[in-house]
Parts: sequence; structure tokens; C-alpha cells
Amino acid sequence: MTAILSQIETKQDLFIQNLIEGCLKQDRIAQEKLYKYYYPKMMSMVRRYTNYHQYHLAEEILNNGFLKVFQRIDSYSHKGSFEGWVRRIIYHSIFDYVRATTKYREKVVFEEAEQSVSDIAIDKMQYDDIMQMIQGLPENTRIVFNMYIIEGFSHKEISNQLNLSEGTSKWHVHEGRKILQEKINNLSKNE
Amino acid sequence: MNKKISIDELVRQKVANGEEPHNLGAWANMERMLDGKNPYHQDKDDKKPFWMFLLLGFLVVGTSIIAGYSYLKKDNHLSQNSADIIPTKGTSANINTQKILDQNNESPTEGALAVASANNNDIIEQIEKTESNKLQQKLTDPTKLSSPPLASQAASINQPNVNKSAITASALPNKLNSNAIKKPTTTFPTVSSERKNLKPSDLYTLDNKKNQVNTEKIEPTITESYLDTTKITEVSQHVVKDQSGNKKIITDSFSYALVQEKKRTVINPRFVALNEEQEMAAQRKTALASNEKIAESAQARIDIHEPVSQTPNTANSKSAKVSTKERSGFFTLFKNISEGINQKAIQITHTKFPIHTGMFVGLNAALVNSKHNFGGFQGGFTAMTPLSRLLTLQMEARFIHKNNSGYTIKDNRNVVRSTFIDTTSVFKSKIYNYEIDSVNYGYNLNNFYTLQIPLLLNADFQKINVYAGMHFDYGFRMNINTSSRSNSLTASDTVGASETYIPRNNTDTRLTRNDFGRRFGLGYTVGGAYQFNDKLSLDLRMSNLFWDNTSGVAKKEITNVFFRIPSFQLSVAYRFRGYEKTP
Repeated sequence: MTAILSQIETKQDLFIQNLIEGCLKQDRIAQEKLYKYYYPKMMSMVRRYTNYHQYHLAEEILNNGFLKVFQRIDSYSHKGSFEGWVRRIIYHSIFDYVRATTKYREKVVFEEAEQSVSDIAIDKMQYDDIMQMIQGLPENTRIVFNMYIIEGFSHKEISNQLNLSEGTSKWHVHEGRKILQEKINNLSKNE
Repeated sequence: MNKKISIDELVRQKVANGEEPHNLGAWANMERMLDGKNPYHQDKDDKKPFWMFLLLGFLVVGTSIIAGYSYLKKDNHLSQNSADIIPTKGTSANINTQKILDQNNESPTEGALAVASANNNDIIEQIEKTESNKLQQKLTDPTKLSSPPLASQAASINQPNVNKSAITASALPNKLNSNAIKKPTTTFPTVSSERKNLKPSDLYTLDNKKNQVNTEKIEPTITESYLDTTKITEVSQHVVKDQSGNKKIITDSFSYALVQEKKRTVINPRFVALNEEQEMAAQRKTALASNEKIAESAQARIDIHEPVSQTPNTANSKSAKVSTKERSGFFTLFKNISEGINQKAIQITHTKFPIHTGMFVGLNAALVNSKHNFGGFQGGFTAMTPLSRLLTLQMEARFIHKNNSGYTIKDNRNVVRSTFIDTTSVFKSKIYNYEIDSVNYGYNLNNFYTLQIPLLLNADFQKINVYAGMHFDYGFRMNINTSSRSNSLTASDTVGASETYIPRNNTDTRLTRNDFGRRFGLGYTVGGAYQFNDKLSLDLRMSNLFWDNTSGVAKKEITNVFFRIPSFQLSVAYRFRGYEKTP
């Protein structure tokens, strides 16, 4: 089994390697394949930071990121995963948008406390449901929540990047959890 | 027993490794970006002209308001000044006339005289009589005159070589000569202030210095000027050289005369635009005839927003209060500006048709085509000019908001991913199997706005009037929301062996966001209004677009769907200036 998995991984790596070489030669077919290969994951990341109705904005952010990928692909050092390298560039593209559009007001420092929900409700929920709930969060809260919960940044890192206090960052994470819990509970009650 | 899971863990599990479905349009845009184009730049560019348009609009409106206000202020100032010297009642007119005559007796050369009320024949006759008597006195006995210029004028008349009749004619009131109906178009050189202030002897010296006394006879300088209904004639001092070579001075003469303006042929008095002075005279005449109380008359003058020169104290204080109140507020400002425009239009064109300006607000709905259930509100300004007893020309600026209750324009794009031709399954037939990537787009919008400028011909029937006309229509750029959804489809076509078949190809979208841009068009409007009174009316109309400047199938489709829909509009209109209907 391990051998099969490693064989698949090797095939995947070879496939990616070929695409990278094609992209280095500005081959449009290779670029298209690379784009379509990473599109679902990267678009998922971008859409977490945008509103449900802002599909075109999400696409613009993603394409700006991919343009940088294609333009700077020669700077990829082949150390570490290529997907991680692409993800980092797309994240910077998101962050450029966030910095340009978002302003934070100071909030009261809040003590963190994790909220929990029943796992029965969770089983019924799909990717689209959770994604819609996250996209429905207030913009500032959504950004901090994503950075903290999914990207794994600490409050200190978030406060440095977004130029806000750690307390404000904590408040937004708490607010995000609270709103999501309410939405999940309402959903399970309705069902 | 239910297990609990933290929100953080839930989000990480479900979302962190989530994947979005493919969208073909995204790669198409990516390709454009790789080609050095920016497919997202267009939308941002399009917003600039809209803001520039708004800015321009504000500038135009702001400038108009400031200019109008300045003009009105100037106009009010002038009318107030004229009101100060125009008598407002029969009795006060006599007092004023006597005052003017007294002033004339004391200093006839000062010249700032005015006599009002062309319609008041008694006053005119009285002044003419007094003038004739005075002039006769002056001519027969120059020593009695206290004013040096008139004395010298009389003296000059006694000179043998001076044309006496000419001076007499100029000094007599023009009314008596019956030739002062029209204002002269020729302008004469005026007497300089330097000359005015000098004595006759000084003038002789001055003229010598200037070396201007070289001709046998120097023509007199005549200046004619008008102050309301009074014509003022000045004959300047001049020097005459006689046959023996002696230079003699003819001094200035001064006269004033009432000028009766040519009466206008009145078709219907209600449709004649009167200037302030005429309105005041007409009002005074009415007041005299009906023996109205002074206070009521003063109040009437306040109502037509005129300055009053001589009114009782109570009326004065009341008018001051009303005036202060009326000067504040947007509606008063608009009313004042429109009155100013009315006056200006009359001055420029000498038209008999006043302009009645007003405002309106109301609701609209598209009831004809229920599929496109648009509705909203409208508001704007209106201006009406009566052309005859029956017809009125009406112009409006109408801002219309419409709400879209969920109507969506749909579009799609198909890319044939693979084609497989099956020739074995069905005898003598081919089955074309396709795998198609399809993206469905939905264009939706909440609100859209248009600006209409109708030009209407209005027919008046008692309290009802009906109208029809054309309107210019400007459709603002629509703010649309776009949604898209990707699908993978399979399709198959069975074709007989002998049949000709065109295989399925890729199809592109027919709409872009640019197709929802601004547009300019022409339309028609028909409707009617019910007049509650001369100011308030209820208006119902139907308007529709019959042409616009869009080109291309997509833009025309949007025009047909959103703009070429018959729209019913119900409005309440208020005119600032009363508009009386024919009896």
C-alpha cells in the first residue's frame, strides 16, 4: 500500500514537474493545466476571505495570485512542496486585498473560550454549508477568523499583519465562533 | 450521548481541505491577463465617468443656484429702489407728484424725477398742466427762476440768433408733443461731469483751452434718458460764434416728460406677463375701484412678493416678518429663482407667456408586462408656459427610480470537452456523444435609474387637462450582481447515415457587464392631470421608450427587458406660481 501511494506521489510529482517546465517555457497548455489543477483548492481559500456574493472579486484575487505564480515560477527553488509555494503567493494576493480594503476598530480585550457544537449536526453538514456560514461572517471578523483558525496564525502575528491589537484579534475570533455556533444550532433545530 | 466538537475543529475539518468547482470563465480571464490585458479593469474604469457626471451635475446645479440667487438679489434690490419712488395709491401718488414738482421748483436740474402709474390719467394731466404753466412762466419771466442753468437758458432764448422753438420743443413735456411712445435707439454724447459743475464763464474758458470753438456753430449735445415712465432730456451747454465773431454760450436745458408705454394687445389678461411695475399699477387700479382696505392691499402685495414703499405700519411689520420667512428654505429659493427666470424670459423675448415652475413626486409601476414587475418612485421639476386659452407647453426634468423584483437575465457558455461518435449501436445511424463543460451566468440587479426630460403639449379642459409629447431618456449604468455555476453535461445526437449534420461547437456568452452601461434614448409620454386648484394637481401618465442609442443584440435585449417597458406614473405636482385655468 505504501509502495502504491509513493508511486502515485511520484507520478504526481512528475506531472507537476512537467507542468512547471512547460510554464517556464510559457507554454499556454501547461499553464492551463497547472491553473486548473490548483484552482479548486486555491479558490476555496480565496472564497473563505470574500463574501458569498463577491464571486468576481474572488476570481480577480485568485487570478492576480496565479499571474504572479506564472511570472515568478522561475524563482521556485524546488525545495518544499510546490502547492505550498503557490498557496503562499495566493495568500499574499488575498492579503494585498485585505490591507487595501479593511480597517479595524479597536475592540474590548476578550478572554478566549472555545465554543462547541453537537457532532450529530456536524455529520449532516457539508463543505458548502460551512463555507456559506463563514462567508456570511462580517468582513473583519471573517478575515481574522480565517487567519487564526485555518491558516494557523497566532494573535500576535495577526495583530502585526493587520495592524490591530491582540485583544481586537481575539474579539473577532470569539465573535466568529459565536456567530457560527448560532448558525449551526439554528440549522440543526430546523432539521 | 452526543459528543461535542469545537467550532475550530469543525471548520478545519470541513473547510480547510475543501475544493471549489471549476469555472471555465476564470481560466478565460486568466488567459487575458497572461496576454497583458486586465479583464477586471473595465468595471473600475466605467465608474469614473459616473462620478464625473455626478460632479459635473453638482457643479452645474450649484452654479445655477448661486447665479440665480445673485440675479434675484440684484433684481429685488432694483425693484425695491423703484418701489421707493413709485406711488402705490391714488392719494400717495398725488403726494408724490406734488413732492416731485416741489423738488423741481427748487432744483430743476437735478433730474432724478419719476412719475408712476401710466394708467392714472388724473395724475398725468395734473403734471402736464403744471409743467406747461411752469414752462410758460420760465420763458416769460426768466428773472424769477432761482436755478442758474434755467435762468441762463432763458437768457439764451432771448438771444437773437438762437433757435427758440428748438429749445422750447425740447423743454416741453413729450406727452404734449405726443411723440414719446417709443424709446430712442440713438444714443447721444453725454455731458461730462466736468462741464456740469462749471459756470458758463468757466465753460467758455474751458472750451477755449481745448481749442474747440473753431466752427461757426456748435451743435448742442442732447442727452435723453429714461427713468421708469419719465423721460429726461438734457441739452448741454455749447458755444455759438455769431457773424461778428463774438462767441456766446448757450446753457444747458433740462426737461422731463411722462412717457406712456404702448399698450399691449391683450388676448386673455390671465396669460399676459406683467412686469412688476405693471402688476403694481393693475393692482392699485383694482384697489381704487373696489375701495379695498389699505391693509388688504398691502397683504396682496406681500403675496405677490413685491416691495412696498408706503404701507401702514401694521402691514409693514407683517410684510417684514413674511419676507424674512420666505427668504429661508430651499422651496423659497427655488420659487424666487423661478420668478427671476420668468422675469428674465419676459425681458429677453418680450413674450406674453409666463413660466409656471413647480415640483412633483410620485410612484411608478410597470403594469402592462407583469413578468417584469418594475416599480419605484419619481420626482423632479416642471415648467409650464401657456400658449393660448387651450394649449400649454410643459417641460420637465424627471428622475425615475425603479426596483427590480427578482427578474434575472440568464446566459451560458459551453465548451465541448470531448466528442465520441458511435456508429455501431444503431443501424445506419451515427450517435454523436458529447461531454460539455457548461457555465450558467445570472445577471440580477436591485434598482435602476433613468432621467427623463419630457416636452409635452397640454390641452386644458376645466379642471382636467390631457397631454402628450416626447421625452429624452437617459438610462444610468445598472449596478448588476453576477452569479455563475459550472456543470458538466452529456449530450447525444442520433443522426441518420444520409442526413447532414453539423456537430456541436463551443458557444460563448452573449452578455458582458458592459452591456448594462448607460444609454440615451427617445420615448413618448401620454397622460392627464386633475387640477385641485391653481397650484396642486394629480398627474397620471404612461411613458415608454421607442428608440435608444444601443447597438448589438445583447444591449438591445437589455433595453427591451428593462427600459422598453410601458411605465405608469402617478404624481402629485405643486406649482409655485398659481396657474388659473380658463373659465
